[in-house]
Amino acid sequence: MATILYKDVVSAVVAAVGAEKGPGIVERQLQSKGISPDKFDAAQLQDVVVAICAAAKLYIADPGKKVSFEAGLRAMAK
Amino acid sequence: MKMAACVGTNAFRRSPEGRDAKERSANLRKGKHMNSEEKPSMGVGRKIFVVAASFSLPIAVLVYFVIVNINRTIDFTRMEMIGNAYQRPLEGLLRHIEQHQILLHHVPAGSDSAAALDAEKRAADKALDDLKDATEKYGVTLKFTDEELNKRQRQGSKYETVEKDWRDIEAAAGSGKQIPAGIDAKYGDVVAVLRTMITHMGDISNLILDPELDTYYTTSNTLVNLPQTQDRLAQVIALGSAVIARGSMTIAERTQLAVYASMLQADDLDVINSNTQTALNEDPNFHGTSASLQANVPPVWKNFQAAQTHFIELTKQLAASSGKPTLTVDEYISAGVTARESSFRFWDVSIQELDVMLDHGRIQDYDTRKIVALLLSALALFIACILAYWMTLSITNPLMKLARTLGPGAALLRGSIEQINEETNKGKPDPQMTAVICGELSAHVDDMNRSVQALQSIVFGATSPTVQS
Repeated sequence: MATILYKDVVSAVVAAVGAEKGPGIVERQLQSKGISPDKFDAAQLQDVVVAICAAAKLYIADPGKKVSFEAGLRAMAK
Repeated sequence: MKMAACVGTNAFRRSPEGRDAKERSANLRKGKHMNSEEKPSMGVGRKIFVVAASFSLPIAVLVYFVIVNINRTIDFTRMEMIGNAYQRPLEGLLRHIEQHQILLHHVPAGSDSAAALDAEKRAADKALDDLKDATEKYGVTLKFTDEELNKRQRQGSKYETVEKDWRDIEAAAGSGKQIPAGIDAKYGDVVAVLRTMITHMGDISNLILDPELDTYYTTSNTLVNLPQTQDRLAQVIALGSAVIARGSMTIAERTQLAVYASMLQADDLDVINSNTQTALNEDPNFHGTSASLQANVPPVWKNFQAAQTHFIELTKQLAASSGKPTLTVDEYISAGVTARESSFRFWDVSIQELDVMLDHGRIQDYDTRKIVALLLSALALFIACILAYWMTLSITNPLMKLARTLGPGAALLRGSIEQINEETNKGKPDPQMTAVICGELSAHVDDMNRSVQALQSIVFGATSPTVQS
């Protein structure tokens, strides 16, 4: 079962890029790092936050929204 | 270079108007005439709904015609019932005016002639009042107006004529102590008017066109055969009683009596018997069995048959008697009046049962059919709407998914290009960023493939071969 942090991260990404692509973005970045959603914690988020932000920002056209999204996700990793 | 390539072509040398026209034409061919941002087009779901609604239109038209047809049958039947209502006072007049004539010529021994005549006169007056009421109520509907009667060469076949003729007879007959000359002709005239009015009412009220066997044969009796035999019985009673009273008869009278006896048998009794039996036999086949018809008609029919048969026998005996008749006037008239009364009793029951068959049988049945037709049509339409809605969802849901995939896909492509440009400008691409871009593009390709397959299954069906991308 996925951790609450994982769900929060997915929610944040979905809010930024939409439900169609959001969960897939997080899942792919975690897979590339070999991280399981069941044991996803803040330390692991720090490892993947750059990749998740980079991937999600590819789908965001608005520069302001890119900045606010990245700030929010990085805050979750602290 | 492109501009140079274009210089010198016919297209470039055309007038601006001509070029615009060509562009518009090309855009139309490419389907670019509808700019979705400027003019929002109707969605697929609405288009499917419009298609479904367009197919429901013919169904609605068909239901309309079914209901119109049922209503026409109900209106047709209601006209028949109006005809029956109008015939009641006409029969009453036929009964009492001819009975008045019989009594005027001969009152049975031991009877008070003035009282008997007065009773028939009052009964005829009552029937005349009823005819007046019926004419006020149904006269126009049944076309008893001068204009309509003239069109059908039935001038004078109306209430006013009957009233005038009957008042003349009443005035001429007085207390009945003397038989005025020419009064029989007046009786004949008023009876002829009454018979024509029955014929006219039968034509206009649709009774003559009744479409179902049980009511058709009952109507045949009430409209044609019973009035005919009632009139004929009065004529036979008049001739027979006159012959008996005189104590002798001419060859012509004997022949006439024999002809009357044959007609009472073959044209009246046999036909009425056949009609009644057929009506009783066919009754269950039209809107179910009428319990009251099956219960009420046979007893009065049996009495009618017995009375008719007896009177026909007496008439035959009278016609066969050589020289002086052996019957008394009272015996003969009594048998004749009994036969006539039984025919009116039979008519009363028949017309009552005819109304029951028309109202509780046919009209109720068609009212039920109308409700069933409307309910089934509404149910069919409801089911069609559900099917159309389900089909719409099965088409629009994958399309919406495809649209949701394509939207972020476009953003992804733009974002990826920008990122690749950025990385290229740096001179040293970031391997992690490159991997992220490749991973997202690859995932999007997978999404696109799945969407294309879903689209193919919508367009070609689930079993169609996959179009290679």
